[in-house]
Amino acid sequence: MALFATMDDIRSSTSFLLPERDLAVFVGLKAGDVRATSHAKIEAHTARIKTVQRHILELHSIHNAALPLHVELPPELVLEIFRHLPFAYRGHIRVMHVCRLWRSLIQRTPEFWADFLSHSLEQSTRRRYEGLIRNGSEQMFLTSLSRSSPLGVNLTGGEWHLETIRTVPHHVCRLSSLTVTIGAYSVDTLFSILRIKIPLLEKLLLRLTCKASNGLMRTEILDKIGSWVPRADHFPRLHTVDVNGVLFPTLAVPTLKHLKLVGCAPAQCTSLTSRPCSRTNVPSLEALVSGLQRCQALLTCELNACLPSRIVTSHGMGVHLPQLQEFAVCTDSPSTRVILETITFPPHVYLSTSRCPTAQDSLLPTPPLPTLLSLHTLSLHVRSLWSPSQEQQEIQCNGTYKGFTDGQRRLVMGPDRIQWVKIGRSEVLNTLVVTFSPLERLTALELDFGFRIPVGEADWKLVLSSFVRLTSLTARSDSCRNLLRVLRRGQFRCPLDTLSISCLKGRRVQELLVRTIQDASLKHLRLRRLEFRQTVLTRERWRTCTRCEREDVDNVPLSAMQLAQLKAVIAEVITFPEVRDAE
Amino acid sequence: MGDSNRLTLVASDGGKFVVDKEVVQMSVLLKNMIEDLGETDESIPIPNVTSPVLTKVIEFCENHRTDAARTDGPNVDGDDARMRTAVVSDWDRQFFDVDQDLMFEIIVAANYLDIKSLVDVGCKVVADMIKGKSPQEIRDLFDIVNDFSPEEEAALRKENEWANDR
Repeated sequence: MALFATMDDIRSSTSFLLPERDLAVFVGLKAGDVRATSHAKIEAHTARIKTVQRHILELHSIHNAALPLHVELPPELVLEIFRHLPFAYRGHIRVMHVCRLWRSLIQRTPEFWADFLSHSLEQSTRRRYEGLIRNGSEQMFLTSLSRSSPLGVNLTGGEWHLETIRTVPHHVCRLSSLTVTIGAYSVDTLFSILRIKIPLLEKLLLRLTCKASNGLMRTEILDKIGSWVPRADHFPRLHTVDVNGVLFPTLAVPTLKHLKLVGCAPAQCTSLTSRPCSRTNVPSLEALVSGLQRCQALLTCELNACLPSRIVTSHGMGVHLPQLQEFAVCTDSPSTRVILETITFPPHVYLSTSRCPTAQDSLLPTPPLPTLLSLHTLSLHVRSLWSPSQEQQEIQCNGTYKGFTDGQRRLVMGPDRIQWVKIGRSEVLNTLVVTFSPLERLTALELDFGFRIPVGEADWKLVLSSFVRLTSLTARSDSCRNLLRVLRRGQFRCPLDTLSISCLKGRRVQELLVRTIQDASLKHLRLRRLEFRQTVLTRERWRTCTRCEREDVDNVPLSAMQLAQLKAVIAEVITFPEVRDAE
Repeated sequence: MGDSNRLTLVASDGGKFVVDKEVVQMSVLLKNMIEDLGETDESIPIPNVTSPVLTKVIEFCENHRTDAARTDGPNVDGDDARMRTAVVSDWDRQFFDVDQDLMFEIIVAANYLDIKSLVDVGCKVVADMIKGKSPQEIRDLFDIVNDFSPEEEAALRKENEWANDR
């Protein structure tokens, strides 16, 4: 039996919006045919709707393309705007969701993704990257890595980043810099990456922490590194390597210009003592020398607590670094000496040695290094580590020697935590005399003895009688009374023509200064220039200092008469503070 | 002979602007043209820039004429650092308080005339307009219509869900 025999049957069943022409096709059909016909019509209408929707979206895209933003600004300027967005994951991703045009523009712009990658790495490093893995960081990392191709990648991170990038070796070869801190047990992961040829790689900054590896021994770390050595064309652009010593000489490549080797960082070391362990240090002096021999283009080299303790050199072992401009070594005293004997530098290298709690003269080899032989001026600063009492016979202090050639700094040496003794020769002065007084070109000394460092007559006599070529002396001390006494007695052999004195208690030596200059000028002193500086407290400092300190620095300017007496025998006299008016 | 320190710029619609050479030298394009032309009374046509836009560009250059000396010389930090540190002063914000058409025309003109500071400030002002807004708010700002289909939007959300988790 037909469901709808006539149009009236249809009209009576319900009210339809469909046109009569469409309804008429159902007249006389059986139930199954009605369903099939209606389904076919539904399909046709749905297809038309989808087509119209697509057309509408296309019209939307056309509308968007005609907007002032897109008509006026070329794509590169739209991208320039995006690059000015303050970095935030969401902020950057939101702009992709605005319209098709922006999305396609961003997707095909490697610079956007390189920017995104480097900033997201910075953020993830700050936030402890492990926590981000759950949040889909791997997808973010790989997506931005892929879309930033073919630009170079500056990768900063940790083990997770190494593990992730290892899964995409075709992107590893885009690395231009690699900065990672990893547990020593992850060295094999690191080297599985470094064994891939990386033509763009310029900088390597790698830190191994032994703490995370439960005290992996150095031999175990070396086993993980294996015997692989990169070929000359493996990292053709690599110029900067800053790594733990154990990774050297493996990473010694001929293109290196800047090398820094470090030991275990105290905070990340398993050592229970105050000294870090040596698990991540250079395995041996031989290893260091063989590595340096491959780095003939080195300009700067820093060895920072990275050597095995008590190294010894063997006959004939040595390396010449002809291009070197700066060399810094910070290690125990005997090792420093061995290193300085083993490496040959150009004469004008800037040399910096460690802060060792030892006499510095034992650091330096004999005969003197060319750097020392070129020095014109030497400055020494001595600072006590705390404010000593008057009664103390020994004062713990730090010292810094700086050497200059034609105004250029060439040397920095710094003994740490050494004793300044009131009676007898201090190690600081011992090094000063033993190491530097034989230098023939050294004619100027600048000696700055900090607060309450007691410099006796014997100390000044030693300095002035040892440096026989000295023409210029600058002295800064609590009191220069002892220096003036030595000068007055003529206990020196140098042709001094310039004297600069700066003292805390200047008022107490003014008369002595004038008498000394007058007397000594008649006999043995031929000064051409004199500077006399007295400490003056600022108003702020005056308010906060103790009564005793105020008395110490109760300075007043030289009188006009005193100045006239000095000028009578010296061509150039400079005083500070200014000379007071005649009374 | 006219004043050798001034020159005439002719906009695309024929408008003429007499300006100090020092002012327009913020434009690398004009600076090179002035050097190539030497001492001359000839006006310089700017065919891609209309009078209203050129008026604004000259206004910016006059206000920033003393900046030129400060920014001369090599940019050691590179373009990236330059962009991130581009400073937008209150005057600059006031300067760009115009309708969007004119704003974009100024940026394009600055790009054509090679005035880096004006391009930077313009782009930063637009970036600040975008900053912190949702996609729909950004669309509303620039009269952009959402042309993603529901399926594409779902796919986009899935593709970038890692960015929405944190």
